[in-house]
Amino acid sequence: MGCGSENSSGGVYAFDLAGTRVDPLKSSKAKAAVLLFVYSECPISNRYAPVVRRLHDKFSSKGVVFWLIYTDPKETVDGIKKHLEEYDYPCGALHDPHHELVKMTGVQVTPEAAVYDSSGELAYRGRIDDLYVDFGKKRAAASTHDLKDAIEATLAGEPLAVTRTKAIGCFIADMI
Amino acid sequence: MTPNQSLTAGFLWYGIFFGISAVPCEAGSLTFNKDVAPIIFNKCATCHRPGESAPFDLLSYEDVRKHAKQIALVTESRYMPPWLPDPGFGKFLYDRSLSDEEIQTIKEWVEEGSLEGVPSDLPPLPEWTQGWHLGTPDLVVEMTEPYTLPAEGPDEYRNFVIPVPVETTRYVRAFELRPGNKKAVHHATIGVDRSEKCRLMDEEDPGPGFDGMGKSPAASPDGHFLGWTPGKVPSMGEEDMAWQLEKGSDLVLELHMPTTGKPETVQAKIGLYFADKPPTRLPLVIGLSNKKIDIPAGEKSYLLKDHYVIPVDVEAHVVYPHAHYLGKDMKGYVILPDGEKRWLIRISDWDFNWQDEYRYSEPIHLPQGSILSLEYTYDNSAENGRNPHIPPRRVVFGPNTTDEMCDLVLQVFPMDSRDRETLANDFNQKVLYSDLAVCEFFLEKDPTDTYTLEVMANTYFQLGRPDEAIAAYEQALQIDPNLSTARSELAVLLIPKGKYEEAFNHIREAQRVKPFNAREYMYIGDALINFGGKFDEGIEYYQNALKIRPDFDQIQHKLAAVLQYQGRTREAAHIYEEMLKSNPDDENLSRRMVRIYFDTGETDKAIELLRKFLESHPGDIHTLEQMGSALMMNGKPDEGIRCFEEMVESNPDSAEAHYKLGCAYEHIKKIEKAITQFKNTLEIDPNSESARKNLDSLLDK
Repeated sequence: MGCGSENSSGGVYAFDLAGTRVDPLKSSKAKAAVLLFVYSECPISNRYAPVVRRLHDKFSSKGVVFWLIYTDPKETVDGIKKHLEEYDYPCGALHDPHHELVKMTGVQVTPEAAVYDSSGELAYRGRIDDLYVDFGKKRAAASTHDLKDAIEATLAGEPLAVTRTKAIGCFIADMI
Repeated sequence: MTPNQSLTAGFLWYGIFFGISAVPCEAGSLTFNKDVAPIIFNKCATCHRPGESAPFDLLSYEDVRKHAKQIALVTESRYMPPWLPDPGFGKFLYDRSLSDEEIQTIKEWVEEGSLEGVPSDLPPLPEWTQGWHLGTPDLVVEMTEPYTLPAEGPDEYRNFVIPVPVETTRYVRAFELRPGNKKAVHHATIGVDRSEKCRLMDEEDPGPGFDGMGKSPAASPDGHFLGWTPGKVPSMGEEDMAWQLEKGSDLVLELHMPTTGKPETVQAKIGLYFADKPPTRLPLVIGLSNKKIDIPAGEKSYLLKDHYVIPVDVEAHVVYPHAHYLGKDMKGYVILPDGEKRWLIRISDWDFNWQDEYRYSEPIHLPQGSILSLEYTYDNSAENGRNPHIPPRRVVFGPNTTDEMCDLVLQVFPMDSRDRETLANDFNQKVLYSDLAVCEFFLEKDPTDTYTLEVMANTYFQLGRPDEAIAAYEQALQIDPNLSTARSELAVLLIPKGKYEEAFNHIREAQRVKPFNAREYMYIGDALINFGGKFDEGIEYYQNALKIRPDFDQIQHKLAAVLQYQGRTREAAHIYEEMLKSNPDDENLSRRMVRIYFDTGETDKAIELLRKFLESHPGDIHTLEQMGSALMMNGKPDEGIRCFEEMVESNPDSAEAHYKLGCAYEHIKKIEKAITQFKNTLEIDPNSESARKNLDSLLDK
């Protein structure tokens, strides 16, 4: 298999809320795409909703497209709509019932983010920040802001200081 | 040994080492229905079900399979079920923890592929109580308004003041908390405030309640811890161990609320269950504590210790360890008089967010002379993921969550009330002397620390060493002349010394900085009256206090009593009348009023109050006597005498009743009848000297 943008993202789909197949990396002329894997039952994932909203507000006008990827195969369209409303998420949502996007990005937990640059290369994968040290071990406040830094560097076309981090959250592998 | 034997031996060793059963069994034999469901249903589903605290349901195979790997991980690390005490260091009720075998079962089940098993193996779900666990409470109180927790931000610790509408003192046997929104309330503690201080703190803080962990001056009532954590089932407790809830008390509910990502509304309810009688067994809260805390930035293992020799035999029922985010390994133990070491509790991975009180399965008997000991270590390095400061910085003692604390509190029951008093006094001395040592510790580091100087002054005062207290306040005021509380407290100490001019100067100066609140006026009034004999000035201070808080009943009582003592009876009567308007059913107040109306000659009003009493206490000797006297004074001798006669009819066997009727007859010159009553009195009580005297003097005439 070649390594062009066509191949690294081609043929991988999730479903939007109308049930249409969508390739989140191909469907826009974005400068960067952020895929944020979530699970409506995961308290850690939910707790980040305001952070995600702020990142969206800050970067969506600068050509960054945000997708929330719902990972639970049993999730329903109504469930996703309700969750989006409850947590006031501003971004587009996709359902990844066969974990095609999970496999493509290599994420393991919710919440975990994957940042793709304009050429479709995976620039960053991992945690949003370091608020959680472990299950049940939370800092008073985050001391690193890994996702924000990754988006900024990707937009600026600069090399990333950190490209992979370990995220803490609910295991996606459990859901299959 | 032949090679074959060696192989067998090796296999056996392998089997023992890895816990493999000697009996061969098929791989993958662990199933959800047979092996895992009993553990999950009993230990996890209490909270992991709809409407309860935990995030997702664990009620079916599908629920559990969807979180299987995570469950294996968090049970193995003992993060779940949440239970901090290390196994083997004390036995506690409501222990949520899993046994090593249970943890191993879950782990192996996941490793073997999380199989479901056959339906016939699946146990039924436990039957959980809906609504109040202990039945309908005698009284339900609720947060006066809902609180909205913001979507994000650090965990909140907030105190909500809930007035309790009880008309008389009640004895609380049990309570049950219903958090209202279990997803938002992580844990709760309840204190009782009899001082109204919390109401003031609530008024000063915008929004419902007031912020801060451990900031509330509300206390555990009568040595009882009132805590709630998810999954804890309330218990009815013992009838003879209730705690007292006085009229005018507030319950102060401190809620720990982690933000959840969306705004959450919280309005908790507390159900109270009353005992019929006052408690006969009163616990005491004693504790080990070390406030000499000054942890350098980066310190990985900072050790704090304390100990206390118990002066009487006690039974320990509950233990409550406490530290903040840097606390790591906490050991509490006791050295018994015979030298044996007995663990009170051990928590080797302290987690501030899961703090709780722990009740022993069986009370622990601690003989006189036992040495309570604590040893805690603190990790102020960057590797401590819970460290609130990145990079780490120096942390000292203090009530804020970013400060540190070191406490091991025990609820103990002494054997009798004399022992209780001995222990209370002894322990109080220990606390005061260690507080003094802490003040010296911090003043050595910073002699200009006025906060510590004020604490030191107050400690000296409580130790009955007023001269040193005065010196400490004066030192603090030299550093910062604007410390108005220090000034008013200094004034209170100067009054008993007769240094009025100096005291009044401080009072003026203090008020220039900040107007007094009602309590400050009261304390100075107290000092003027009790230690200075300056009644007029004291009365003025009480009156000023009431201008600020007209319904402060403690001051109303004091002012009325002093006015009465000073012969200003009509003014005292006016205060009681106002109080009676807002508490028409207060019997003590009404009785006091009757006495005052006798003094002021307002017998009409006395009669009116007495009539009410007689409705609720017909035949009561004392009330009928007062009624009779009031009517006679009121120019109604016939009605008056009827009351005295009724008193005897209702209490024919009471010598006192006959004697009082005799006096009344004598008063209206019905000598024959009086003689008969005095004779009746002596028949019942031949030793009644006053009846004998009255009878003799009447017969002489």
